[in-house]
Amino acid sequence: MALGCGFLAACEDPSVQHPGPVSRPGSPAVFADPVGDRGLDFVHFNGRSGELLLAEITCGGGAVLDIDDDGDLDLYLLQGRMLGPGKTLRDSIVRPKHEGPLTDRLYRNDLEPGEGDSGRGGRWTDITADLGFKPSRYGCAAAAGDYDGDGRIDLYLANLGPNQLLRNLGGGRFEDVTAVAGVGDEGSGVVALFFDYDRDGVLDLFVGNNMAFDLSGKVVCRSLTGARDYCGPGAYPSQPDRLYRGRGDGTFEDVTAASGLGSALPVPTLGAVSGDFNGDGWADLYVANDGQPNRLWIQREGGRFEDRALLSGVAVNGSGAAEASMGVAAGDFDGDGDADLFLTHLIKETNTLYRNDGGALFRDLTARVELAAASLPFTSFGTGWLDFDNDGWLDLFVANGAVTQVPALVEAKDPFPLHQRNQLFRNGGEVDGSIRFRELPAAEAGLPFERSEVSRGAIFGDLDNDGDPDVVVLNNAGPARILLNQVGSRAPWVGLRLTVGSPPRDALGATVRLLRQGSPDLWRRLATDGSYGVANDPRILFGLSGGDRLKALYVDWPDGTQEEFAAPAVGRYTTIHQGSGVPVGSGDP
Amino acid sequence: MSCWMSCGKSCGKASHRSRPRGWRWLALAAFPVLAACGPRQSPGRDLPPVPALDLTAAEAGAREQLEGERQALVMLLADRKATAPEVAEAFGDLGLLYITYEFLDAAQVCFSNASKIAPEDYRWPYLGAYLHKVRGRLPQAVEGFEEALRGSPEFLPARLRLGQIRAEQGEATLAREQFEKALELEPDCAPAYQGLGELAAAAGDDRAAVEAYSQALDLDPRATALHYLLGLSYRNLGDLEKAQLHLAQRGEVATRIPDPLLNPLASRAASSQFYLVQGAEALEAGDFSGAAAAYRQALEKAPQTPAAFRGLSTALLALGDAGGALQALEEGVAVCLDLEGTPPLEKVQLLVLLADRLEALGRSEEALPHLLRTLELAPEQPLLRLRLANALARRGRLEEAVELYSQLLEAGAQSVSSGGGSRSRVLEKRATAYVNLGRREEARADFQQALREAPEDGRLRLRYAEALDFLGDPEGAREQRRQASAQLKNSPQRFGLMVDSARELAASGDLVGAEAKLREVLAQAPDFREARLGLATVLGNGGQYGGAAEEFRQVLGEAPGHVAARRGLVEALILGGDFLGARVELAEAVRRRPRDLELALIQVRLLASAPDPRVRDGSLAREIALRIVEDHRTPETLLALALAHAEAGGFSESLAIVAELLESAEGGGDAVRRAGLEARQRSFEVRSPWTAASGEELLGL
Repeated sequence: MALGCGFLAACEDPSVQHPGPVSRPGSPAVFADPVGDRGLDFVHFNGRSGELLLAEITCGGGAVLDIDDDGDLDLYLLQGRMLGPGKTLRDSIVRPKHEGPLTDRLYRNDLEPGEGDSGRGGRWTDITADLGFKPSRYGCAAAAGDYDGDGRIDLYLANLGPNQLLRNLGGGRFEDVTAVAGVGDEGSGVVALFFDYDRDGVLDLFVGNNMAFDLSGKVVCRSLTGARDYCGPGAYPSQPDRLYRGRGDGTFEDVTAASGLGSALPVPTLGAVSGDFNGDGWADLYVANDGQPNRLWIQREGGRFEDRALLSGVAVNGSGAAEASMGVAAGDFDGDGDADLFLTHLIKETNTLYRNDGGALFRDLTARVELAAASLPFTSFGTGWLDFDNDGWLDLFVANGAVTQVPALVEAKDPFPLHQRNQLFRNGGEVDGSIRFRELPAAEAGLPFERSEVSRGAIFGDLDNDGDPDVVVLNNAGPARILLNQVGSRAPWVGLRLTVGSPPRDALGATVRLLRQGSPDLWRRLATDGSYGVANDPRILFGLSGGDRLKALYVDWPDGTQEEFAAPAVGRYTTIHQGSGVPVGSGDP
Repeated sequence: MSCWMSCGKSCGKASHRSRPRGWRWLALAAFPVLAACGPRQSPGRDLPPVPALDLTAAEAGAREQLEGERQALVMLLADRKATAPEVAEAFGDLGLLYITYEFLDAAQVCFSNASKIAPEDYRWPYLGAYLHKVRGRLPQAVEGFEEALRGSPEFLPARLRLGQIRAEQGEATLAREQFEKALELEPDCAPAYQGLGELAAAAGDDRAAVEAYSQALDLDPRATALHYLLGLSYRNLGDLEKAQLHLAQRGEVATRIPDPLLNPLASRAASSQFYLVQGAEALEAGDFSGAAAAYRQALEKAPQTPAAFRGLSTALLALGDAGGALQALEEGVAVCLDLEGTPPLEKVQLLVLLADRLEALGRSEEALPHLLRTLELAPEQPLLRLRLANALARRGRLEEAVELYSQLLEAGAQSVSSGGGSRSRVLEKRATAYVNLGRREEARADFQQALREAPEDGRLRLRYAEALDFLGDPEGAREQRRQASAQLKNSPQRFGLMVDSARELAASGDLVGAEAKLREVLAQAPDFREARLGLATVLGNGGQYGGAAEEFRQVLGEAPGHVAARRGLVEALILGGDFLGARVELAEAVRRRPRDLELALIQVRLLASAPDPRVRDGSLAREIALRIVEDHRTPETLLALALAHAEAGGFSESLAIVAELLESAEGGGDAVRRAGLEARQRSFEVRSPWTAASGEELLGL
């Protein structure tokens, strides 16, 4: 080992890079790397030239989306470029490792029927050349949704600089329609999401901006010893977020001011997630801010939003402190039918779990569910609720990577001393009235969790269509990694694709309730947002503990209507279209 | 592993601290020889090495300090005469220094080693446990704190931290046990009450939580984070009014564990950066003296640090030392502005702050050149352009202001909003300038455009209404007011506007109208602090000092640190003749703002010459006055000193001062001032202390 185990501290440090995979034959691990070369050769380039610019360690985003409507998820990955005025690749500390031009990359999933069950993962074909344009801005985050209702999923790219809306023309080709659509915000976009907040059947768009980064290297920040280090959120002016309302004709209206979002002072946004947090049937928006109180924009009448984060208990952590708030995920971890929130933070801060007690009144339950201590040594970004073992309880994945230099790695002369390992937490389900999480050691979680990298985004989706969630980890200045779930599909599951409109498109914002005989109902919300800088699988997965008998399925559609459906088939994906079920009145089923 | 690394208690006695520095460095040069000399006498111990750190990029001061301390330990380990406690102490010292700079891995090794060498010393397992806690290793932290408590059961910080971990682990009973024991040791321990409150809240007993949090807040009113906890507990109890009240007062200052080992770390570092961070934290916590000291330390380590000048100025201003605050910025600009290595943004921040301070002192003309300079340094920053435009408009240089506003608007919405402004606000500003220039149509067009861009901004609509009044369109103004009224119904914005209007009434002499308006606001929004302050001021100005004091007290009940309210209360009490009450409040005010010259002078005058003899205390007045004069030697402070000397029986000193003041006043045109001095002189000549004729005199009005 390069450090030498004489350096006890370094040996103990979880962030130290493991020399390589260790074989553990026979031990069942949750996630594994795909077997062999599967064609995904993306390596992120952050454009660092030694100036320690905060911008260079902020990004790492992408999206899973079925661009060709062949039933499997394809992969769009955002690339960086050189940062700073006049900087060229010659100034870069590390040469780009990816072959070819420095652009975003689109990979087609060439999953063969039945291949998902092999546990090997599909094959990925780089079809960037066929995109129809050259996506060569400094990409940070992606949102996916059919904004123009033509049945094809489009992409919105939040960049450091002008953002882009890419209209899916079919056949893997996209067209840049930013100018026509009117969504070319020029801020440092770090999060974007599609949702239909006004229930008019047309997707709206939220864009979260961080700060006006200095790329000249003139703003210098230092560690406590005075050594140069990356800056924090106070170093640059914050930029305002944007809310665009889809008009239905392919264009958007900037409603930031009219909606009330513009009334708030700009703070450095990092994450955002939509959801009906107060259960009134209208979509709300939760925005995570770096070192500043977060905002919970509760929708009032007429498309007006009001920040209720403080009274709701989700502005700051349970001790009253504003935290770094990078990634955010909404999900019903306790099975009570409402959306709870999980946020990722900086080293020495705990990640935070807010349980929704109904009506958007939350409590910080982090320590009580045993998620606090394990997060203290890490700086965390992408995160998501995923039922990796399909037991019906949502578990957590957390992608880690520091933002200031880790002393032990600096000591070891590490060229990019920010890397840390990622974490997987299993939800133990409700026992004696309480829920606890347990971090799985790498021996159980899988070899990918022994790796130490500078992870940012984490995309969640069933890449091999075998009925369990896989993960794409997006590393800053590192390779994109696929983590294939090896265990979930062993348990019974139900997969759903919910669609509305004609041609059909994903019913973003729909809520599904699966009724089981003798077991509590399961709730899921259809959304592609959450995590950090990514767009996730729009499909819904229900893990079923053995022997569950399904009774029925209720869907609350984004327009406020509700329908009942017969119990779906187990072990396969079923597409449910709005209008094909039995309408339900306003009463509780 | 080098031989010194395994050195333990048997290394022998050392007296490294008393050795001259030169000797130490000579010995260091010889160290490799020592290292190669074979195993040391350390039976039973195999200590891990102290990690060496890569400090090549550190500030020289920090590097020397860290390397020096580490090498001192190396030396001691090489000294066969060093005793185990000495070696443990040296490991502990180094560990604490590593914590100071946040080298936590290295610090952990140090405390682990110290524990092994001196297992009887509770400090090492305590500090090791603290690090385990910070790094999320709770079982190890529990073990360490328990070990520390076995060694020193009355060590309060260990009890509190152990209680916190037990609470995090969901071990409510064990946690409560620790907090209760902590309260037995220290009944006024705010963190223990907070801990009990959190346990109660976690158990769903929000009533008990409120009780415990309230006790904690009473004991540590600066711990503003407690307001958040109280707010949420009240929310859970359904008392939304109290919840909102506390949430509005939420801050980030936590209750502080009284920790004799970790708290002093703040003064150990040798890097300027450390003190910059410390200063910022102290500012945030409301510890302005601490912040000023930290920023001074930062400047001592690195005299050309713009951020330190800025921080120092802010801290001094908060302490009431406006002159010092301004001086710090002027020095900062003088020292840093032409430095090549200083980033332009930092220079801009200094200049902007200096301009702000000058404007606040009514010296706007002097502020303008600084703002102009900021544009030269950062022409791409829209906010700077906006700031300069506003300053020009305030100085009546309207054409220039309009030019800058137009530049901003031409640069586009993105440019304005990226600077944190809004386009409608810039349009409003330009429209106002147009109104004052008499360019009616352009003013009207800008207001209308601004309203198109922010149609629901009731405040903007009211501004437009005012402009229409001014432009002779009362009908249009009425319509805008009607719409604004509907938009602003019961909003804080509306109340703010009502307070503004009351201020205007008061300024025009209509105190009755102002009082009525403010009471109207308070009837609808009793917690609207600005209105209550306004009411107190209006009452005071109307001679209703008792009522004014009552209103100020209400504000202070909610916000004990409110500077203006505290000052207002003191003035109301003095003007109302309650000198005894004033003395108590003054003491509190001065405690909170120890460098507020004005407050200190009032205090001296009160103690030296109050009409109520029970209040007077000559020796205290003299003590304070001497301190003041040491820093601020002005005719005003000298006269206060003369009063204090007289009250303390030092008439000869008083007379000497008055004579000096009379001499310097000679030739000046201020006959009233001279007459006042002569009256005091006559009083002191007959060995009679001066008694102020009224509260106004005490306040120097």
